[in-house]
Amino acid sequence: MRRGCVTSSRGKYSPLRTNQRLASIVTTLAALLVPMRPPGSAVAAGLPIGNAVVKIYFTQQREDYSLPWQAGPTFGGTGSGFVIRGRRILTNAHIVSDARFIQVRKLNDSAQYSARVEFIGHDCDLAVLTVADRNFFSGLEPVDFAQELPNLNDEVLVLGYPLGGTRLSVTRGVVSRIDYSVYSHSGVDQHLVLQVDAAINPGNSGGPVVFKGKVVGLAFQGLAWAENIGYAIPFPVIQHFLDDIADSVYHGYPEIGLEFIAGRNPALRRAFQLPEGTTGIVISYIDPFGSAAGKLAVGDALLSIDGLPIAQDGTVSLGGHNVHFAELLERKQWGASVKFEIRRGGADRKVLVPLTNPRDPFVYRNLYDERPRYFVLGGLVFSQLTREYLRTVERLRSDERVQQLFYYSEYAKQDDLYKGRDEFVVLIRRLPHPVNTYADEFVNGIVESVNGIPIRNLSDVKTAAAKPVGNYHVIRFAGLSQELVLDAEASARSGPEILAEYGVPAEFYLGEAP
Amino acid sequence: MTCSIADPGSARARPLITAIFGLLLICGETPNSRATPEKHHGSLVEITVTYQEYDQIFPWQRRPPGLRRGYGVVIDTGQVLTTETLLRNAELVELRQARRGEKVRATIALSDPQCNLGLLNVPPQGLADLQVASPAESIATSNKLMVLQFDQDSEVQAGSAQILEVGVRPLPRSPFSLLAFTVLTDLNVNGEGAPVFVDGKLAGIMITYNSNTRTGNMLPSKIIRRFIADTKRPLYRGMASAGFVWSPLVDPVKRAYLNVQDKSGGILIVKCLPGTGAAEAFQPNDVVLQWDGFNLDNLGYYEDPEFGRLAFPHLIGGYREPGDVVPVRVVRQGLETNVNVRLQRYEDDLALVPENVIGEAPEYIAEGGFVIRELDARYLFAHGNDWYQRVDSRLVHAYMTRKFSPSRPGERIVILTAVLPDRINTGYEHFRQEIVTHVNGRPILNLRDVFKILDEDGSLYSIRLKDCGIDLVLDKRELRAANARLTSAYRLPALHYRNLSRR
Repeated sequence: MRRGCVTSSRGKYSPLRTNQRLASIVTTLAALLVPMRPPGSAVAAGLPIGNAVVKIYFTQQREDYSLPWQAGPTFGGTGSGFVIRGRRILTNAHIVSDARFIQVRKLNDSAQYSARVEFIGHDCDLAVLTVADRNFFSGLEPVDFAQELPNLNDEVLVLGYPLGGTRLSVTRGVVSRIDYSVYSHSGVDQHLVLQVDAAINPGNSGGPVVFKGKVVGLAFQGLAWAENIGYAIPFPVIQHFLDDIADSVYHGYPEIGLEFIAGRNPALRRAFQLPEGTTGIVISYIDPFGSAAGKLAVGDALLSIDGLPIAQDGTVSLGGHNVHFAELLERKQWGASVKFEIRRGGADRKVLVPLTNPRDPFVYRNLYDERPRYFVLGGLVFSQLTREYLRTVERLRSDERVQQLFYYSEYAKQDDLYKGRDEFVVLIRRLPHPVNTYADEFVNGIVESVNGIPIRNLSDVKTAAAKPVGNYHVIRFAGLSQELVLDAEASARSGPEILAEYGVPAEFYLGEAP
Repeated sequence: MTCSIADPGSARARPLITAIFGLLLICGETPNSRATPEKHHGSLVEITVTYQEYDQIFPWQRRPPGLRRGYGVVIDTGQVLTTETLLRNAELVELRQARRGEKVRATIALSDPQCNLGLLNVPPQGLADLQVASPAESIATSNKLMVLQFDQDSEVQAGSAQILEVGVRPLPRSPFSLLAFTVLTDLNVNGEGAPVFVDGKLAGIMITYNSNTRTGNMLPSKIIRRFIADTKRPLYRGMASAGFVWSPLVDPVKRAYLNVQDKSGGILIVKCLPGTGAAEAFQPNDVVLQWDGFNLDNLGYYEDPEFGRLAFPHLIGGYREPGDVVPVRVVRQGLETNVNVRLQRYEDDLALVPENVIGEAPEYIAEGGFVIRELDARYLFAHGNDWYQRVDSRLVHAYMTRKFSPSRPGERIVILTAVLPDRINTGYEHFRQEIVTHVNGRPILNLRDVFKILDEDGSLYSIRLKDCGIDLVLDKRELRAANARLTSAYRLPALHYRNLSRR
């Protein structure tokens, strides 16, 4: 579930705050590695599952969002994965995102086999790889998944290929917590996580977490400022991903899209006619892009979900445990429905909410495998607002234009800033040239109109740029009284010169229309 | 209120500083050698200020008291002039003369953050053998100056100073700008308010000093004389302001787009503060060619008869008074026309997000544990140097981008800063830094509206937050008991504070 949507905290989505927090999560932490025995000992040591654990070699290339025509730097690394049914390898999305070249290697085999990504779920940090060379899978048994989560204090093993050696590593720990947490790969999405006190180091990512010989999770992130806290993706999230791709398309998690206030206050309970007792929460915000839009309304009291009463704190009783009602939504696939019992205006009714996963451009997830779009006009570079761009300007946050970008990214929907737009278009850079000498003060401005034409998306800028007002391009920005004015003829004349001077291969890359 | 996006004056200063340093080295002369403090030392007093600021987060509390030390100069019998920043939030002001240990209590007669000047009253028997300093009529940039202060033994210490440049400069700890002289001195200035003399007259007082460059800004006698004259009137009028934000207009393409025929002059009106003379006179994209009879260049400078090239805001703050109406020549939609702009004192109350420069006691309401106040700059800055990262981005955006743009006169941003947990507000504890739009079911424009609703309803029993579509309601029947509990548990001196003199 996306942070802020089905939470009682009403914590506004804040890319950088979340990001700052997450930056620490994925940082290296020191830990002890269990000393390894000679290769081939996995089975002998009572770990037959160790043979299914593979090492993944990757070369990634992160797009350069400040110079969006550049493919960005490449870097390589290794991770872990394990063989699952269907001749596939399961690993983390963050191992193979933006990958340009992937190879896998299995235990006791000197060969490295080329692999490719078959499915990837950035919202749950999971990916499935295939290897074309069928010899790779010979002798490999797919792992078995557990059917239930381990309990607290159950001992688990973490297998993988972390830094510090080339052979399979095993670390041991206990399950210390099962909770919801933000997945750092997307920076936004929250799912169930398994917290273990076994060391999870860089390179461990993608390796299995094993309980009684069966996989209960997939190691994926650690916590830099804490000792012995590692996180794994528990098997229900893995199963959700595998079920999702069963039809050969990954849809992703559906979004209900609502905020609520806990029904703990007696006066609030009376005002919204909540039933006697401790059941019910009150909806305080409906996300226009969420599944609940048009089905549920602000002020509705949610009494039950799929027949399970929702307690005043937003939890339901499931298997003897109190869990957030969002956990029920976690188990649903795109296209499924959820049944709410609500109280609206004093009357009870049942509402069926079909779950969808719309492409919401105003949720600022980390982007992968996506080339940034841009358009250059008179040396002024326009691009869409992304979390990646916010990251590049974070240190300039005391600047009012940059601050506005953060405000727009955090309050796009709550403050109706998104209306009339498919995305926010930003003047991200000036490529200095006499034609744009006086445009610096507009950099990082959010474009409202170009030549009198309202800008809904980046493609609109290109369209509007073809229709100058007289001999001028007149660009208006959100929150700015001043207009940016360019000489249209001079801009057109100098365009090729500017592109050549700064090594820009093309005037634009607009990708597919949003 | 005027401000510039660029600071065109700063770049020019560097060669001049270099040249003056060079001259000193060649001569091998310490400017100190010519100083003669005896003539003026009777007008110099040391000022010790015990100050205490309000806690902006918990506005019923105060910050720990602090001490500031600076200087003042006697300008009349029983009257001492110093800086407003030295006196800000003062609880106790004490004066001491050179070579003496006795401290005499003074009272603040008037202090004005818009010109960074303050006037102290001293009891007649308080200080002995005082000399009165009178402000100089005029200062030439070539004049040799003398700065006075105390040394560690309470002896008057004098140093020479030279004027490096004259310009309109930002005042310290304030959003306002004013005429200031940048001076180079051989004295390590150890307190603000140190008086500077020229030919036996008060040339100004030091308002900033940088020990690395040995330079500082001096508020000149021209401003001081105006201030003193103003304080002698029955009603102090303060500095004049026009109420607009402007920008240089250098870009030839934009000049052509705006149909400005003048080749090199004119600045662009960017934004006018509602309720001011500028808002009445100007229209968007007006280009000001001439202000009060002076031609403006495209960076906003004019040729001052006394000081040479100066930023034009000095024409407002330095020459005019609130209430004056000045003629302004503008280009509007390609045509030159004359407009008259009424000047007034800058009123913080006109802004959507006031500055509250002096940090006056914030008005607040804490009924039912809902801590409610208006957003102002002091609240934001109270969150530390990186306040713009710590405070909710919606509030930061309102200050940075919209502070001069209330949608209606009197509009303020009313915020719920925190909820003091109690069983009456259980379930709402986590709300903070939220904008309050309704109180007791009625829309509000500012905190005054909330007080009015409180007066009418007797209590505050529900609030609605922006983008939270439902009211956070409190149990009316429990409110009285809850307020008593909250007052006791959190030791609130009062459930609300209303500054009746403010409006």
